[in-house]
Amino acid sequence: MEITVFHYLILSGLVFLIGVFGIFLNRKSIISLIMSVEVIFLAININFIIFASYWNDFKGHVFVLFILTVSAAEIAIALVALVVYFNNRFTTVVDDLSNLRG
Amino acid sequence: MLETIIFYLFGTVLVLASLGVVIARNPVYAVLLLIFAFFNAAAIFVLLKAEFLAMVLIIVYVGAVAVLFLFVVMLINLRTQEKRKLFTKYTVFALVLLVILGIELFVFMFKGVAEINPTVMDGNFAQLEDAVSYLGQLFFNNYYYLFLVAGLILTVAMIGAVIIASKEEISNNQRQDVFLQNIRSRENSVKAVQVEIEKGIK
Repeated sequence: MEITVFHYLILSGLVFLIGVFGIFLNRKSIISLIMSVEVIFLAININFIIFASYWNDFKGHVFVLFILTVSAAEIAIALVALVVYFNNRFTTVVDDLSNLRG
Repeated sequence: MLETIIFYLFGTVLVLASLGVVIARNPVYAVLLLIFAFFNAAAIFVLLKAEFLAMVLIIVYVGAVAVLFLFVVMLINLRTQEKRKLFTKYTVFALVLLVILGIELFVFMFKGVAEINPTVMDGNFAQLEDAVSYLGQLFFNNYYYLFLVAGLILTVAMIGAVIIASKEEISNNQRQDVFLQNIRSRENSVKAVQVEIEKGIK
């Protein structure tokens, strides 16, 4: 039984769905939300590489590298904001983030 | 045959590890499972003939981002948080939405892929002499603007992170003034006085 593009697509689709499920499941804690976003990024990168390999086109690889850059920057900012928020409020629960609601 | 075995092994472990990331209650375990998932994804990348990106994934993600996660999780004292419940009233809603999204995703995926004649992934990249140098040429010839923008994004992120994290800015009277320090002499900063006994200095 050979591995076709279907198998890889099912794999990346499953990982993507797990990440989306995590956002719904962990909607209380910020750090779990960020980790779910990481899982989604991973699924998308796998998808890009699948089609890069399928079409024999290196542009998918270039795109994956840029996605890695942007997500690394985003994660750094998000984690710093999380640490500052924790130092001020001593919690990482999303529901307490209602200061700006007025 | 070997490819099939490797795909099923690493694919299963990847799905299980990412499921563990999502449902783990202890964030430290979640981060460690995330690292494990990244390693398995790197194995899948190697199967897809993307060896360079597999190494980048391990170095950048496991080496930097996941360790950053681990630092933050350790830094934040999570014992002060209440234990969150795994199943809330939102879980059913999430599952229903997940099933709908999954059906949509796979239906459109298979409709789309059926049109492009799915063949065995033979990976003709192997015919290229040096895939990494080809990728580098692609970067620095065709996408050099985007490469510069990526560097700019990382710089802005670094500066932003430092500015957000630094708590109080250094006020003006605490700043070191080298000129003032250098013109300071003994004559105008030290005074010798005769202290009267039992009176002291006012």
